[in-house]
Amino acid sequence: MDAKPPAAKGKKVLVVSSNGGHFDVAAAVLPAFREWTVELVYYRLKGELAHVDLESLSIRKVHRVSLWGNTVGVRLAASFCFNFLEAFFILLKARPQVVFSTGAEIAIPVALLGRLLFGARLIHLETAVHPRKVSLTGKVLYPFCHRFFVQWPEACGLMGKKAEYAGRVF
Amino acid sequence: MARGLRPDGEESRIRREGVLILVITGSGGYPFRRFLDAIDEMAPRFDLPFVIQDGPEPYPAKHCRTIGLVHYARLMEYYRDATVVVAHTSSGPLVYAKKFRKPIITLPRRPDLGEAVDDHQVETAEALRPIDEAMRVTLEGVEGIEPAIRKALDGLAGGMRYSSGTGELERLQDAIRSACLE
Repeated sequence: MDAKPPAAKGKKVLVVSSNGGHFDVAAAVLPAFREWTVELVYYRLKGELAHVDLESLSIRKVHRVSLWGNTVGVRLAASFCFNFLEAFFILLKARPQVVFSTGAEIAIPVALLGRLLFGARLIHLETAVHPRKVSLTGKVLYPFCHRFFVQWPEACGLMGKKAEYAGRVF
Repeated sequence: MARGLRPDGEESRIRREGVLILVITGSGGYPFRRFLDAIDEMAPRFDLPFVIQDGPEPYPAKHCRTIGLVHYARLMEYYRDATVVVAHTSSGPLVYAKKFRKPIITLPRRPDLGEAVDDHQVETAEALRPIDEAMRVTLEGVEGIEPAIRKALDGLAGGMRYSSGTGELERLQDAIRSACLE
């Protein structure tokens, strides 16, 4: 059973990340939110991949959203649409001041609704494994982001003036 | 449950001895056989325990212990116990090797060999090679794995460590925190 850290005073940050490398990037920057309340939006996965170590990562709560397919197709598209409904109720409950995204597509419903309906500050961190391009999630979220970080200096030129390089997770 | 050639009791012995080559292939589901075949073939020449995270598809290792996919916390224990990390060129191993101050050797998955959905690891490797350092080596082919492991072990014996560094991650964390406070 994962132990939950106590709620912290200050900002409430809703981190949204898919599993794999996107989550590893999020885990690397979580110390940025030290002393604040951090909740995570993550896919509802099976087996070992479902586990998130709440205590060591200082995550107070995990909100699970649906993933009905692993490859691009009708099932994945359907779960992506359903994610908007799930994201609405997660945001209604969590009421974060900040939505922090590391992608991938799981971030789009939470980030857009968080920014447009709930007035959250939206910050996106691009993946570190696309030195020469910006992800589709990044392109979708870019116009709505308050701050948009890339992890390679060369990637700044791929987007508008809002894209900024401040460092890399490795 | 852990799989592989060695009985479970062997794992605690491996940990006690404190020298372990940790091999990471991620959870993406694409095969990486040329990498794992090379590792399994070279492992007996080291007389050191090799532990392969080989999920989701089991790899039939002859000379290495395989652990499949493991819980996040358990994976962190393996990183903590590792002496050298050998991995695909992915964010996770690069992040956690740095976090636990372990030397890391990576080889990118190639989409033309069916090892990845696209060429992002090749791109990352090309971007990393010019800024490689003693503790982080990015390879072009499997033939470089064994020399790189030996060099890392020799380097560690000679006191090789991560430099205090440019603080890239810390700068990024600070920038994100500031962005939240605006």
